[in-house]
Amino acid sequence: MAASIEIPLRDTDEVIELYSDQLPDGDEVLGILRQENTHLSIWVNLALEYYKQSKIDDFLKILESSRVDANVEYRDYEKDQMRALDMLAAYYVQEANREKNKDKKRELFTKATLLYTTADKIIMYDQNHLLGRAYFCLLEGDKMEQADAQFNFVLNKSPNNIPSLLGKACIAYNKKDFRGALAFYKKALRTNPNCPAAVRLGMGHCFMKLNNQDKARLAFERALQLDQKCVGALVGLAILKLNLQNPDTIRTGVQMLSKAYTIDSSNPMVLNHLANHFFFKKDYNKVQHLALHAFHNTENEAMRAESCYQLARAFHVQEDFNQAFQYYYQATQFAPAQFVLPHFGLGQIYIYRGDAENAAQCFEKVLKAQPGNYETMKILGSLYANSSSQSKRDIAKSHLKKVTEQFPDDIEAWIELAQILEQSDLQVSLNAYGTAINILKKDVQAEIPTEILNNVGSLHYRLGNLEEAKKNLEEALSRAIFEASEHDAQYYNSISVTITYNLARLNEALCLFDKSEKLYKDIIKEHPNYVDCYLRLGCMARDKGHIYEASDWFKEALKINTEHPDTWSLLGNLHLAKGQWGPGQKKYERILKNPLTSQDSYSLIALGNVWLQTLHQPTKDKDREKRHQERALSMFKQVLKIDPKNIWAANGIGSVLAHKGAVNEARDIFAQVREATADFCDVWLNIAHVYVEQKQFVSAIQMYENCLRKFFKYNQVEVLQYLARAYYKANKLKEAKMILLKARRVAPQDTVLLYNIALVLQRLATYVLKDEKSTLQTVLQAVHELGLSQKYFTYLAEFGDKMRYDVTLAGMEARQCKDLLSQAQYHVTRARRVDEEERLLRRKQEDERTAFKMRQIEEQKKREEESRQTKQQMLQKREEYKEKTKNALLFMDMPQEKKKGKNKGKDYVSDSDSGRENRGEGGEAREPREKRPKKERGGGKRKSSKGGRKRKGRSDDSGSDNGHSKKKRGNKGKSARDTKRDEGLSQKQKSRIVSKATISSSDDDSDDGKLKIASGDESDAGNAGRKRRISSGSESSRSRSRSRSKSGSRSRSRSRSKSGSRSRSRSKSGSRSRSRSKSGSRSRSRSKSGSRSRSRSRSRSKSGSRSRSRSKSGSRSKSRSRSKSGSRSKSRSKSRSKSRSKSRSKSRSKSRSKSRSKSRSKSRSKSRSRSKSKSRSRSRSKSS
Amino acid sequence: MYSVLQKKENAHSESIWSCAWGKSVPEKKKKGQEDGDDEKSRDSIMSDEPPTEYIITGGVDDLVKVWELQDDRLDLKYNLEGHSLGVVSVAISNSGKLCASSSLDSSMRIWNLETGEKVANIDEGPVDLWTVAFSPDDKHVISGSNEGKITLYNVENASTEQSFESRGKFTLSIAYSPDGKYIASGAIDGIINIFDVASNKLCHTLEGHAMPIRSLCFSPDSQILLTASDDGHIKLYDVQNTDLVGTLSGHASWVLSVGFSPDGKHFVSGSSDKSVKIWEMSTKQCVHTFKEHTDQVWGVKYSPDSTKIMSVSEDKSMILYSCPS
Repeated sequence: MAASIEIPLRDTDEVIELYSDQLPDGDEVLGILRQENTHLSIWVNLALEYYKQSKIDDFLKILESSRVDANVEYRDYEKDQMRALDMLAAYYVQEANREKNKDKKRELFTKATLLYTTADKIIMYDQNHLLGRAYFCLLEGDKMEQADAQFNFVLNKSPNNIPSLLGKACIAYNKKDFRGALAFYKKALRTNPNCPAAVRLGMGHCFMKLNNQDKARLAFERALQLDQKCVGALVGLAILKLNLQNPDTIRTGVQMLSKAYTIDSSNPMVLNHLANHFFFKKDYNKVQHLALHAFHNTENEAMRAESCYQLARAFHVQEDFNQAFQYYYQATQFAPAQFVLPHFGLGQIYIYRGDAENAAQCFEKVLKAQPGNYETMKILGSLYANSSSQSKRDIAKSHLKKVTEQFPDDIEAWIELAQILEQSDLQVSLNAYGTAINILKKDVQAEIPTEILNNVGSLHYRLGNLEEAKKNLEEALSRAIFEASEHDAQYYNSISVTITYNLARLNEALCLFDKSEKLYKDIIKEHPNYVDCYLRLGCMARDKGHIYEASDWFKEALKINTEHPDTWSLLGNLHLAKGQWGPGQKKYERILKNPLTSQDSYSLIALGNVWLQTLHQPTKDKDREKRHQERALSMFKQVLKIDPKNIWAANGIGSVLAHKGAVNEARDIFAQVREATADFCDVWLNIAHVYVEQKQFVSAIQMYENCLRKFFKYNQVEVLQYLARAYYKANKLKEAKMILLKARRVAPQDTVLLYNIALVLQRLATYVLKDEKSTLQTVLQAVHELGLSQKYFTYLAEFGDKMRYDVTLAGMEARQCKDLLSQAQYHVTRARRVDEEERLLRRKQEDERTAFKMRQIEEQKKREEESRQTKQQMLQKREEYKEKTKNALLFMDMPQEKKKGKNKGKDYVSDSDSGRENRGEGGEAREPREKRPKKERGGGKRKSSKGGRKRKGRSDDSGSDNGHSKKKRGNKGKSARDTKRDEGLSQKQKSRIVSKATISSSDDDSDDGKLKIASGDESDAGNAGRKRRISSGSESSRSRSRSRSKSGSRSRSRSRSKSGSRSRSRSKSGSRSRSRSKSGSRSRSRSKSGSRSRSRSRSRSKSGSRSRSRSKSGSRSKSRSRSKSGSRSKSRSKSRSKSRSKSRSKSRSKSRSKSRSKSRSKSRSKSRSRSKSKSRSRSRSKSS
Repeated sequence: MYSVLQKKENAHSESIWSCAWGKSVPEKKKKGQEDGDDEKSRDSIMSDEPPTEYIITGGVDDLVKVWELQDDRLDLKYNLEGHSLGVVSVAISNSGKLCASSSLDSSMRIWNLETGEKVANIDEGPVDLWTVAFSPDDKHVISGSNEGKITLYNVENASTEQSFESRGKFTLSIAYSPDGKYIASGAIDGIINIFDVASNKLCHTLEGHAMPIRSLCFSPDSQILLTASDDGHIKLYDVQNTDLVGTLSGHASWVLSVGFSPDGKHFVSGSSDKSVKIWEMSTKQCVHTFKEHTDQVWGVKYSPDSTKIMSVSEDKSMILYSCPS
């Protein structure tokens, strides 16, 4: 039986009993209450009863009227008053909490506040009141602290006050102090084990947050047991089940959700979760419906954000991007900071719309909320990868790197990373691709996409691994063709065009020009607008020397794209290469006029170079020269402003400086440029030119040689000329000759070379002739070469290239040669005489030897004769004796014995005789014993001539400082032999002899030794004579040399002029022609005493300037020569740089474009294959 | 298969600029062979006694070296002295008895290979002599000059017998067709002239190259002309109707020398890129690449039996390769 409430009737003891299950109409009760002047407590109780029976109106009416009409004239009426007020307030708060309309909500809250304030005035610290207030504060939000304080107050009074414990738990929960909250809940539970389900629910949530899923499940289940309709517990359990990701559990989870839905069809939480579920079921209509419902059923912003997000997601999947965008946007507006999914979605939509900037912002927000989120990093990485700003690209790189570190299996990230690195670090990029390919092969077992193959191929190409590149590209091409027949024909056809182009480029690099030409033409056949192909065909024609064909190709390219800067600059280069400065200049200016390419560094530098070039054409107009210098300088400066690291511009500035005479500054600049890159030939040359200018010939020579080796596979005539000039200036004529010969080997028609060779030959011959110790052979060679020189000069005087040097000079040189030749006769005769003398000497020795032999033989003969005579005499005697005495036999033996003895004795004598003779001839007191050693010495000497040669070589190596350069110079063994002989004689002979003896194989010409000694004496005398001659000779030679020095200068100038006029061809890098000139040549320098050589060099330098003026007609300044060299190099650099840059850019651009397309395809395929976050990946693929 | 038979380092003391390969069939038996062998060999091998193979190299050291090749062994036979400024070109007569050499000083010498003696000496103007070649009958030597003129010298008395005018540029390379009908010359501007010897007329001008032609040669059947140019390409022309039969590329720098194999199946090329390439005539493809040299390869030649190849280089070395035909 339900409880009843008794209303005591006024002035009686009677009561009206109202049963709670039979409450009469509110108004009736109110009437009774008023009438009977009932105590407030009863009013309150009645109101409560009505409330319990959900008769809210009556409840309200009673309470409202109780404030005025109730009887409060009893003890403790205040408490009841409080109760009434608090109850009403609590009701309003509750209503407000439910109310979704903000205005009404506020209205209700104000009412509640009013009531509470009234109550405050009655009893401030009533527990219930405080609790109510605290809850009010909680609900009103942002008054957490106040609420907390009030709860604390209550708890102080009664430590086990359950509502305040729950309140505290709630606060703790909201403050994310889940453990604290849990503790409060537990305390509450302990106090009252029969707590409502809500407590269990709270605990469940705490457990969830603490990641203790089992306990959470228990808590939820308990809550459900307590309250079958506890939606919260149902949802909680459902989520737990869903999170298990198991089809069965998901099903039960969904069942729970639907149960919750049937219980409370407007609970936004349930609705959202259901929406989420249907999203995965792809029932997007339901999603929309539920989410919308949820959205309208909640005031909570987080909830609304969730609902919006669900809606947006549904639209997103259905590709209704506008709606999706709207809802995502709304969601982001509602969403609290941690709820980043809407930002993610919004970002995706932005990407779809191509608004990378906003998209990036969205994802940045996501990343901020969840640092290290790899999906986001990946997306950001790919967003920034395409950014034009370097810093953003760097961010992208770091993002992607992190992604690959976190998920080393993410192919997509590897590919993206590789693509970014393509721009900066080729090798690392290649490695990234390699990783991606490995993963593809191993884990996914998918075919490697053509795009990746292509990219890998082009990377290999750029790294110079041509064979690898070829392999990859060919595979890519075959795959592309295959794919085109299978699926997306258009897409794969476009890819295969790119691959074909790349293959063509590769073939070019492999020097298979025929193949690449065919490929280019194939491409053009199908895609007549492919400008790059025309350009490459033009470049190939240009490199083959077919200038007009090249020009035709470029013009063809212009037909397709009239503003293509590459085309124009290539055309400009063609003009420059032909020396047509004006038309070339126009081409570049055209590029700069185009607003799109007005900052084109290449054109600016080219123009600067054109101005520099004009400086090489000598003018008398100083102002103009200065003007042009300034113009060139300003061009280069402009480039440096645009691109502070442009080495070509720096090189240009260095050249201008050199022009102006600031050689040291120029050298500094060049040095810096070379530090920046070693692959820039011109700067090497420029540095070398500066060295020459500063007379550091050794360094200059080294520089030139290195440059030749590094940049030119073939004999680059121009550089060879520079090198020869440096050698010439360093007075290393032989080396200069060698270098010039090498140049002439490839350019026999070059009369400038001819001139230089003639000059070097002439000077070389002069040296040789001047040198008294030159052997006949060298002298003859020198004379021969002098003759050649004269021949050349005579020829040049007649047929020489008048544009490049003064042919009359050649005539003068020819006369000079003639003079020299006539003088040479003297040297020849001298050398011949020396040679003759030597030969005579030898013959004399020979003669003496033979004479001696003859004498010996004669003596022997005589002796034999004598012996015979004696014999005969004896015989005769014997005959006589026989005849005289018939007893001959006894005597016969005796005379025979005698004979023998005599013979012996004679032999002995003869020996001693020869010994004496030796002595006499040698002119030195010697013991007979010495005979043998002498012989050996003869042998030794002969050897020594050989040895002498060897020694020469050695001494050359060891250094030219030796004052007796003459000795060294004498090419042939003669002089060396002489000197040796001298030494040998003057020093202790014995030791010498011994040492030689050991070396020499025994020469059994005994006489030779003697004779040589004699000759040694003579040779001494000869030397003296020679010396005299030398002195005279040197005088004459000096005078000659003076006159010659002029000529020398000429030659130099010539070489310069040559270089200037030569066209700059661009060559490929890297020949290794080492070891050629270096070995041997350097050490051999035959420097005369310092003073002489110096003076010569000076004269040369002067002449250098002169010569320049000649060649160039006009201006006489040293600086010019410098400038020339500089400018030359520059011009070259231009052309080269262009070709390089072009090729690079092409390949790059290609690869880039490709890569992009690739990434697209990839992401698509992946999203399909992988189940992760479908919506996300899908959206990206579309957007990107 | 393709392999290096022998590498002769420092074959010359300076860069080697030219080479030639020929064989001489001895007319008489050499004396001094041992008696035991002698009889047998006289009977059986008289006719096909192995001919002497000569390899001739010329370099910057002004020497012409004559090497004898026997059983893959190289023996230096002669050092022919007398040139100056570097030997630019050497040629060996078809009989293998004579050798012609020219040097930068514009002189040409003709040598007797058996004795190593100089047979003739021709001096010309500074730019009037460059590469040399023998006529098929070995009676003449030809050389080109600066104006595209080609001079035909008599081997016997070194006198000028005939000249061919083309009004072109400096003639860098020259070749006499094996059938004796044509002379081809390649100029510094890439123009190739083909002269008809009998009529003394310029009959064809080929303009396929635009850069210096450093080497050209006829196929053994005289039908094909092979040209090598600084543009890195090798071209094949049909001599009769001057059609371009093929353009081959593969060298990364100047092609300095080309040579046909005597059997006409292959040809070889040497380049500034230090490589030696062997090409197949039928497919016009490169079938092998040697990269043995450390510097430019100035000259390449096939052996008379088409089984070997030699190359000489700026790096002073000479290499013999075995090369299956």
